[in-house]
Amino acid sequence: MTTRSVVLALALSLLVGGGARAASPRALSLAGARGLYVPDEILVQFREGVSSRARFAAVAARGHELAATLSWPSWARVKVQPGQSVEAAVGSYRGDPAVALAQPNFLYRATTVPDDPGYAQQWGLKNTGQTITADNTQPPGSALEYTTDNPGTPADDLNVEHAWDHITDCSATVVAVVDSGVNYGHQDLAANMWNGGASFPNHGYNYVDGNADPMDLNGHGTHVAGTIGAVGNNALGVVGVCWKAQIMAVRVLDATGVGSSAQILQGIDFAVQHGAKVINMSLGGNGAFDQAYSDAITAAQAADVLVVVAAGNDGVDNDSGTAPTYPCNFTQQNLLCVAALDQSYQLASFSNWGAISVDVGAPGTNVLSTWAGTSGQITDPLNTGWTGSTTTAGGWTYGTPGGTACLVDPSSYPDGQYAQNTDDRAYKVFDVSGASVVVAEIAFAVDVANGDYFRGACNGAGGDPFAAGTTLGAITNMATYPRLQTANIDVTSCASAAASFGFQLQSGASSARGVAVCGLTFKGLVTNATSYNTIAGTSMATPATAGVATLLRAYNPSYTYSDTVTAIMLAGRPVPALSGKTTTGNAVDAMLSLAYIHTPTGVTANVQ
Amino acid sequence: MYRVLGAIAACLLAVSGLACASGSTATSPPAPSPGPEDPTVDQDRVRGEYIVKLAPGADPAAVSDVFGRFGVQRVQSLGGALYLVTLSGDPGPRALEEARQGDARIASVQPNYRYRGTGQ
Repeated sequence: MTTRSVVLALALSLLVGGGARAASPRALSLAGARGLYVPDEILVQFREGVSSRARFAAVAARGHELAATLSWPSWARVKVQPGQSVEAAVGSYRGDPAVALAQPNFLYRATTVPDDPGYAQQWGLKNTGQTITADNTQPPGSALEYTTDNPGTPADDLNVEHAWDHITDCSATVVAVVDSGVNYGHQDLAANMWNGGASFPNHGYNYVDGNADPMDLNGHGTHVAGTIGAVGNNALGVVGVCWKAQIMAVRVLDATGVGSSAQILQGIDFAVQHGAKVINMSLGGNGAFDQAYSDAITAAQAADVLVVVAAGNDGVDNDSGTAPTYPCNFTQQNLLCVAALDQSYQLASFSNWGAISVDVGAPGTNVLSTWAGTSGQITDPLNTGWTGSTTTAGGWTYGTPGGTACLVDPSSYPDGQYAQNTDDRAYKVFDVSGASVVVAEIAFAVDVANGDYFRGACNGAGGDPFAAGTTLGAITNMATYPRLQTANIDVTSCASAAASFGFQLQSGASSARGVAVCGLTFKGLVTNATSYNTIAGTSMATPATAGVATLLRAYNPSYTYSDTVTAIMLAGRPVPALSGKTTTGNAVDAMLSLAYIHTPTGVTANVQ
Repeated sequence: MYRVLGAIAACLLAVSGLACASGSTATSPPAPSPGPEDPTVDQDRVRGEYIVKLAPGADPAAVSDVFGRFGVQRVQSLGGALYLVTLSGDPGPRALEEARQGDARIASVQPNYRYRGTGQ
């Protein structure tokens, strides 16, 4: 028995024997745990000071036979009565003052290891203390986002290899990725996509554009999908928690990674109506309580659908009362909210937490998974190459408020005021050709009076985009100064080798502090079937958990969402960093959850 | 009210350091773009969009009846009793809630909130 196996065995003992969570052990069932343990044996741990005679008597009183004393003196291997179930045998020791713990004699096999070359970098599945490299980042060659605890601590992982000894095929359970879509043609996902038949030939639906093509134009959803179910043991790329899966792609986030209540609740309904039993939603918002969204999750609960969601990335307490994050802070019983752990099972610096709202933790830093394509970006220095015009005097200029290069209007920003009755423009030409999608990320501080406008515009043909082009957005009556706002805008319609992008400040008979544009980056994505990325977020911890949930429901077809939640929450691995910061203090543990023994609710189990 | 200005493009190379555009002209009047009533929440909801839930048995026409004065541009069914209503302006959630309370056919109205992927 390996060190890990010992830990595993003891942990399981706590669950089914005399530990705190086993205060009321239920009747056990082999119906959903076939092959996990020796059918006619159990292990019993006697309390300190119990004599050999008393041990023998305790065993004999149940018609059992003391088969062997183990190398740990307090433990014994016990043969149960012929025909008696292991569940019944374990349960028969409950309340015996001589017995500390009783548990099945679990089976361990040669560990199942996939041949996917990226597996060695997937510390969340198997943490060997490996250093996660930047070899698979987007844009290619960029640095890892998260540098703390890299390398981390061996065995701080999902403990999924032992679970793979029992199941790798999750295709009995449909799992929906309600996200930015999925690159369903990816080499590591195509074989594991949900079969939507003739109605949904692209494996899901797109509620952003209102069609049946949920292609991912962001990358986020494809990453999530790969963590759940990248094809395993195909000698390609990475492996998911599920080697085989049915991944339903439901696009509710646009190319900028943003979606709305209306899109999401329709996406949830689609997943529920088309048979998903696990929904992954790696998204969040900090608005007010969203009744329509909450109702959609309640409807999923009525359909026995488990919903796994992210805690959020603001590094705050979701339960503080000032920063609830939805959907994490919804209270339905079919909702599991997940925090992100780093490679040494410390709470990731960005991860939200909540002793009431957040349930478990899972690997969420430096997570390698599938990506929708090759990403690239152009960042403008904002100090050269811009063409300006004004109808009055002054207008846009280069400035350095706060020491940062910015386009500012007026030149005295932030100490002066912009001109009245002016039309100030600035634009520049960029080569943003060749991408499937281009998103402009703009950081700005604004103070414009009511009726005055700060606008963005673009034109694929170049030239002044306000003379002929597409308006990207307009802001009036807003003051964010000195706080920088970030806007992500899909500018794909303007993409060309000589596309102009510009800003305008247009005023009437009023004035205010003005505008500073201090960041402008164009992010492009060229979709392909072969890309991968290493990123961090509670978004990445969520599908690790959803993958385990899918594994459990595939292994135990009679499991309800409630059974699955119970197995994940109670049969997790205690992690000090999560104590007091989650409802359980546990990290998700695939093998412990798989081996968690309890009677599925709402069914009559066939006990052997 | 926005005032259209004449095309008086002034080249300000010396002042701004930006290159000067030739032939730049003022644009036509901007499309109406109402200001948010509370800029701090603007990022968290889609301006001008609301989710309306009808009371059981209510006719969907109630949406236009109750909220028509705010300039209903589009009413899209979201399934069941839910509708996504797009307004030409945005009077703010409070105004819509007050309008709803005056008509029992509308069970609830709420902003169409924004959500983001939680990757870093």
